[in-house]
Amino acid sequence: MQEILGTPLDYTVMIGYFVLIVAFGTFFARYTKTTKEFFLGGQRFPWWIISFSCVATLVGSYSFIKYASVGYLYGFSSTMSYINDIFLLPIFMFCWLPVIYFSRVLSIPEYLGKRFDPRTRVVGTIILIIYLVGYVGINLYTLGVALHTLIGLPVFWAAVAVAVFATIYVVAGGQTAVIWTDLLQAFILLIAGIGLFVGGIFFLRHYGGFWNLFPTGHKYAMAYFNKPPSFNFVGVFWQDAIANSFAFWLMNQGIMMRFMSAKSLHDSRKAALFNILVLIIVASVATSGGGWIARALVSAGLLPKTLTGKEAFVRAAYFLCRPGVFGFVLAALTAALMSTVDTLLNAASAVFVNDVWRPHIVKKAPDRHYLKVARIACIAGAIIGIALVPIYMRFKTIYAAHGAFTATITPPMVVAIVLGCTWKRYTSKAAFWTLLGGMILMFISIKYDILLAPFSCGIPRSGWFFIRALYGLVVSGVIGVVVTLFTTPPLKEKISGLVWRTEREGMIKFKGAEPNEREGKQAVLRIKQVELSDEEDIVRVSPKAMELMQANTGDMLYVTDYRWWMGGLHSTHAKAGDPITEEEDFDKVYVSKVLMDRGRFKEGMKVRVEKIF
Amino acid sequence: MPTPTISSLLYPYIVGGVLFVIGMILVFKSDVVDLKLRRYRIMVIWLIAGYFIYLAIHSFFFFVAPRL
Repeated sequence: MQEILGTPLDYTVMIGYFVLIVAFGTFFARYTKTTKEFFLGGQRFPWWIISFSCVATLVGSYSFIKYASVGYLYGFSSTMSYINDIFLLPIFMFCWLPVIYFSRVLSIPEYLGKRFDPRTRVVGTIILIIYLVGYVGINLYTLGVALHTLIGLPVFWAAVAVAVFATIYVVAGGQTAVIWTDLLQAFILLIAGIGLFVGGIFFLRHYGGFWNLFPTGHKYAMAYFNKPPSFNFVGVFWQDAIANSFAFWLMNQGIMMRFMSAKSLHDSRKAALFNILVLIIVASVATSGGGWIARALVSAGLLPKTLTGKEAFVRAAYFLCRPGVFGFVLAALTAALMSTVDTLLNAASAVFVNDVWRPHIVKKAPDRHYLKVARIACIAGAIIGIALVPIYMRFKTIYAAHGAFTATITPPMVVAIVLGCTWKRYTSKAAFWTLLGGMILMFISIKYDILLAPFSCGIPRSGWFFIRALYGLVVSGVIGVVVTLFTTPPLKEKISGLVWRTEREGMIKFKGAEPNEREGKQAVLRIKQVELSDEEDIVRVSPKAMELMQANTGDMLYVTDYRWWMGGLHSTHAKAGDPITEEEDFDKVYVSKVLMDRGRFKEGMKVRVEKIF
Repeated sequence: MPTPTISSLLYPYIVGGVLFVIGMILVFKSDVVDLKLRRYRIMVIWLIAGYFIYLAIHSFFFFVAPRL
């Protein structure tokens, strides 16, 4: 008979957490009045919010169970999947981010449409919608299974409960709710994971110490090069470090929207840098730590030697935590799921509205119409996700099929995006055939795995599934390059701002004028509402403030609440108008009624003003 | 599980290193990155430092940690 873990106090803590998150998320409904706010949060957030909230998206519902399991079985090399994104960081920060930020695209398919042609956009839309909605279902299913194992809740109803909670706040608050709840959930995840690891180390002092109890072979950060087939270095490198990392950072619609929600491109870059250099390392310890502690507990004779990898995290947590604290760990598990599902729902809604509804069904309608459709699409995405749970439960082949589909689409999409944003010569036909031809060749490799032999790097045949990503990247890359060389290059005007070395043109289009990149400082001023009849989108500051910011008339400024921890909730972008001439107002920033409402400012409010470019 | 060999440490920093260097070349040749500006300079320094920080962490857990 299945053993149910936890006490009523644990369940109370977990339910309390759900209620808190929903209340917190729905609070942000007041900040969501337009589709731009629903999908991009009004592009107002500082780097640290973007960076932390990404951690919650990165850590999926399965992460604690999966990586703790790998950590228990193989030791520190469980971190291989996480801490290897540094290799792609330059391309992400300096090729991909400027292109999407300045071209104002709302979705990956929209980028494919602008950079290539409508049929590539259609292929991208179909792929992404199947991927996103199927992935919602998979996340709900895996959490349902986890909660069923832990506290005996039926898989389906556990999934329904989580989906309902997440949908409520996504529908209400859109991207703003997603970002703020993910920020909170990131802290919960990290505190629970790191807390368990550190608590375990302290506890094990009385049993000889963690380091002595942890097997020597587990202390390597990398696994053996190509053995065993189930877990080896080179397979994980190509699957996770290269294919999945590129997929996460470049083709994940939710991540793209997250980085576009930053107040400036500079903040997007800072968010990515901090995330990869600092937070991912912390997240990898948080997700694997439970498994490492479980291994030491087994060595100390405190947990049975028969403990399996899948049980490692939960058993270690249950052993170490008092009632109530275990509930907090359960909350962290659900936080990992909700923060992934909310991002996926918002992302699927963006693709549906932007790439299906707006271009094909209702072309010209007021923004409030599209906002309504976006909210309905979120609900529909959640319903489809829930409907997939019993299907995944009943037909394991469908669950596996979605996994195979994801593995199949990832390399061609990654190649199309990387070549698209870095190579001017790369053509529309090449992109289309990269996607289609790459997917066909990936499917063929599932049927005839002998195709993977040249890429196997010595891995035994039963582990070749790891290396399929390398095969996919190579064949898709070859298709892309060969078709490009035999087709006419795109016109220079068509790719302006959409590819590396045309970013400056993108910047000029974004601003509507030459960028001013002189480095200035922030000015601290107070809001004064005035009548600005000529143009409502401008703010005016004193000549001294203009000089401090190194700003000129017409430059793009960002005005935000002085309190940094408000995270840009009270903020707006505006153009710098002519400097103020009234000396008594030199400590003020003149703001129109429209901007007062958009930025949610109050008369006399202390604000920071900075030049963006 | 067999004890890892040096190839597990070198492979990512050579193969991934090639990718990283290509990325850095794209950064240096970009038409918006002006290294005279402090904000770009700091980012580029952190990017390069990041590569070596990761290499140092992995080297520590390859050469030192298992022998402690």
